[in-house]
Amino acid sequence: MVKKLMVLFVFGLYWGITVFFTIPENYLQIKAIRLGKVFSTMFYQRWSFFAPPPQHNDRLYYQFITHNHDTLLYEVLQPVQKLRKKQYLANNDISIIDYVLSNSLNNISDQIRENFGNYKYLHCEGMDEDACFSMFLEGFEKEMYEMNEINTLKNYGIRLNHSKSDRHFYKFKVIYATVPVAKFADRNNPEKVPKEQFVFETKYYDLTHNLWID
Amino acid sequence: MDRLNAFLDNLSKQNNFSYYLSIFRIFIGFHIIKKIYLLWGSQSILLSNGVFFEHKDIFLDYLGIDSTLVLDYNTLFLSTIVVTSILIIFGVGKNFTLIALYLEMKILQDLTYPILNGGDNLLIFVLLYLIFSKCFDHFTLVKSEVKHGKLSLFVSNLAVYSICIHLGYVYFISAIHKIHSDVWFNGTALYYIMNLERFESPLNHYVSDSGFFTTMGTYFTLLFEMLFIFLVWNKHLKIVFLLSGILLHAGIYFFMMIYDFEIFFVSLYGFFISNLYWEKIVRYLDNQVMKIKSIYLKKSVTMKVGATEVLKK
Repeated sequence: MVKKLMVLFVFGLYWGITVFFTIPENYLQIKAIRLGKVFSTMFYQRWSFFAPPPQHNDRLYYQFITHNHDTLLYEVLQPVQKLRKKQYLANNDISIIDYVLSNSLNNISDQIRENFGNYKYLHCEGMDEDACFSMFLEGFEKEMYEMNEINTLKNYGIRLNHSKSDRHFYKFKVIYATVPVAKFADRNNPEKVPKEQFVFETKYYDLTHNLWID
Repeated sequence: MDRLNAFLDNLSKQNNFSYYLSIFRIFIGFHIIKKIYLLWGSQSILLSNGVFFEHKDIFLDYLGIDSTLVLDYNTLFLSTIVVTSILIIFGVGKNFTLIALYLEMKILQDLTYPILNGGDNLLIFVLLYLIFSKCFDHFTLVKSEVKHGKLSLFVSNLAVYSICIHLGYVYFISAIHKIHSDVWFNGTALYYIMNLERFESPLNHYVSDSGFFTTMGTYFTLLFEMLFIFLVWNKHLKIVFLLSGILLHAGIYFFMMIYDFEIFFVSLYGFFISNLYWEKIVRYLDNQVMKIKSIYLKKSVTMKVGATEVLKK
């Protein structure tokens, strides 16, 4: 009986901790943020599927510059997603590329949003948001180029360069933009076509010396 | 106190999920082998550091074990997972094999985190719970006659309840997040999801702009996720919720092209069906196999007798 009660106690404790750290963010959870990080190391879980759903489609551009200063722009996500649709029910390989690229982009923009939110709160009281964002980017730049996700996008650029080796590119940069999904009320209105919106871009990556350059 | 005693006794008498636990153990083995098969061709993308996808430190690194070793021997690592899964299917090594599989999958998931979905996230917890369960009672290569102690039966039954609670909890927390969002609250969320290029299947254009489908589908998802954990235990409503869940996951499978997530979630529904029912199904299938075997045996005996008579003549 005592052993069973002890097991029941551990069961209750496990579920209590799990519920505490996985319910939507609240004051008590923020107070216990350190413990939350320990919990996440082994028991990471996130269950907010499409809440809210993204209301835009992503565009990932690679802008390549040749030694003759010609510029070529490639958008890489749309072809991947079209192929995913074309290979319906058997699209695993192309889905992996889509997941790696899209999730890298989403993680970078999530990081920027989160860090900018904190920065704005601490340093930009009464300041214009654009000016604040420029200031923030200057400080955030070093951290950004150390992110695994930026390096993943860089590696994809290098692969892209290899696949177009006849072009003799010298450097490239990554540009992230989004195209909003038409509002539900405008779904049948052909006149309301949403415009693409710029989100961020990287510095140029030098393909000869393998480093980011200003 | 009497109620508590009765509750504890009820959970310690027998393995309340013995048949489906064993079926599910075999399913998990095949499910993971399928995952590895699908990953096999993408090793150069996912499991080669610095070639495309850049890896973060994982829990092995925090323990002082260099995780790049796994990347250096990625084919061997994936093969080990396949072997462990085969052992699980045949019931070899029992719970020690399950611990090995849990650790291997934890390492694999940490190394391939950008491609994970909710199904993978729940899978790792289910593997953890399975370690504590008695899932080797049936369909094993070597039948062991070890009798389970009351405490181990109690732990096993609680482990299965953890699987059921976790599934219901996932739906519930997801619904809590959703009702906080305007588009779910106003019934238009499905329209935005269906119009995302990433998840746009060739079927979406038939329904994505339909106001009726969008509204009904959005509220159906919300209601199902919100109520599942509370009402699936009710014997009259259970079938309604399980069928609704299959409908929801089939919709996500075909319209959003998210495949293994849906199969895995639906596979967990088997734990809500009583052990007696599973026993009946297993016995029925067993009888059918016996019948086929006896027909085959009769035929081969008749053929042998016929052949002997021909030879005698």
